[in-house]
Amino acid sequence: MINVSREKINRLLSIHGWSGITLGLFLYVVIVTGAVAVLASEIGEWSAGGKNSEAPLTSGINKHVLAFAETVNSEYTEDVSIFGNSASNAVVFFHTHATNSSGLPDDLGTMIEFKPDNGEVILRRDGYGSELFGTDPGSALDHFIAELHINLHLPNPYGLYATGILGLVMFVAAGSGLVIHRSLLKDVFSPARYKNAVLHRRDRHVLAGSWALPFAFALAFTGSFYSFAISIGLPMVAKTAFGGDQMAMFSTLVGAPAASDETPAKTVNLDTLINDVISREGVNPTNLSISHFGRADAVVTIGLPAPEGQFIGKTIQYNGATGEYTRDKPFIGTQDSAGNTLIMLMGALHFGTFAGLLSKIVWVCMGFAMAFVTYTGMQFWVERRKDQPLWQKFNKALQVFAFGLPIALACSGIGFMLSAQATTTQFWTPVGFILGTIAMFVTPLIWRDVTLLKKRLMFLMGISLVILPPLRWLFVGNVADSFLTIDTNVLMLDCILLILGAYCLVKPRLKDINVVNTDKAKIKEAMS
Amino acid sequence: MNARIITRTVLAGPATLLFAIVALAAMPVWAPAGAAGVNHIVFSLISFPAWWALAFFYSVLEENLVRGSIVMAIAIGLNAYIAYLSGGW
Repeated sequence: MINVSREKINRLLSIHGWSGITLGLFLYVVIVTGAVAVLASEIGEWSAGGKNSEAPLTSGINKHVLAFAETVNSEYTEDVSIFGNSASNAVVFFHTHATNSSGLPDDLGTMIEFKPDNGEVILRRDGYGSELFGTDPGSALDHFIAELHINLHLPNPYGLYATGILGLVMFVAAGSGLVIHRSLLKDVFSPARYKNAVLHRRDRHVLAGSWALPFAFALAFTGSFYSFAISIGLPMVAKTAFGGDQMAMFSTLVGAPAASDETPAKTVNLDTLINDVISREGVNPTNLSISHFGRADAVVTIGLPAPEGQFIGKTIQYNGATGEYTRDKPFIGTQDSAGNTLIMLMGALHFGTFAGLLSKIVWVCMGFAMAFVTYTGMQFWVERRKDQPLWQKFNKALQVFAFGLPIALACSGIGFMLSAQATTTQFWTPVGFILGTIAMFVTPLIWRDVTLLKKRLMFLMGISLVILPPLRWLFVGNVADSFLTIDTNVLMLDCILLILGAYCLVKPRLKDINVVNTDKAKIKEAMS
Repeated sequence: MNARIITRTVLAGPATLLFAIVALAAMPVWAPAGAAGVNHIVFSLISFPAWWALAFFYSVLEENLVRGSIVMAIAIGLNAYIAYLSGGW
């Protein structure tokens, strides 16, 4: 129990309530999309119809990369980046450094998506890196959801400011909630009481909030760090620590560039390096980059995920001309440091990637618990003011947001599936979301009673979720992808959508049956 | 609205944000850089939400608003001065 005076408790209660009720709806959007975005790579794999290969960066890609290098503009072969995409295809980006139409430094080159086993080209595009990354048809859905969480699709840096402020609001809600609940340990094990609606809503809010409290602190802290670090933090720190000298900061953070040697030299066989890195660390690389491809000063950098039993991954560098191992390269700085470990921990904590799929699922569940806390908190506020017409209107808005957001997200998935074969997913995914959102704002005009509105929205949510796996089977893959080839992530997401959808369809009906049975029992009791 | 509420709102709102920004700008001066020379940068970036939360809850919970205003003004001024001394501004 935290001992604070009654006056301070009242002040914190007021801040907890008003900050929640004024920004709670936006906070709910960030929390729900964040919980979904934890599974962004799995959603990408699901929307692509499963993996096309076991590992996109595997021994055998060297000959394909060399063959592609012959076909691109020679200016673009200065640097090469290779990584895997949602469908586990390999993507190679040959590029040079240029200035884009906005006057910002950017990479310019050719991006080729291909099957790693036979080198079959799936997609080939030329342009600036800012235009090419995340804009291929297969990445439309996971990229859309992730961007909605990161910046609410507002232009940067305003989107980052908005989500950063919402992170701080979550911090305030968690901090003030911790103090005002006073008996946290008791609350954790107290089930919700059914004496009346106000008490029931309060108990549900307190129970879920107590369990999710550590998670709320971790997510609010790491989330606001990510939003503000790049938009505000880095430019300010650069001024103080390096007197505004961006080159000095760059050299400290990523290391000074090695002495230039433009002598043509054959770049080492990438298959050899990939095999070496697998034998060293026991995991397949996630990305590989070559700076100064085909030159004597070439450097190959290979990124690795966290191996079994480790919290964070690592990056290894090789001499690109000789293939000699150079060093383990920290994410920040030129040697290992507490700062580098902290930055890696922030990532692992925010994205829940520290124990594979298991930690991600825990993060998704805790994310939805936080969304439930936000929803029940606002419900509790409205229930206490149910005689006031303004708050009754807010209650309708709350239901539209709470159920409408998952429906709109499902509609973006529907838009993706319906346009998958025409490869216009980048257009129809956001359009699906917008149409779903507009439809949700119409629902209070059709169903004016809030209880009925809630039931109908839940039904619509059920329909929109249940329809997604069949649409995927029809337009992207087929039933066999899920149930015969046993692609774990595809099967998992298909099952989650079907089960959740079925629950949403059945739950309002079960509630009706319970009400009828209770009424019958009451009548029987009165007659006897 | 009475003067107390206005003062507390200013302290918990703009003053808190200003404090977090100047604390972020000043921290690389006094935080240890470490052998890799990056710790002071990372610690500063990571601690921004913590500085904000510290100042916010102090502003909300401080009973004596005159003392609260003085403490915040000194904290902002001191950090701004440290950042200015770095020569980068």
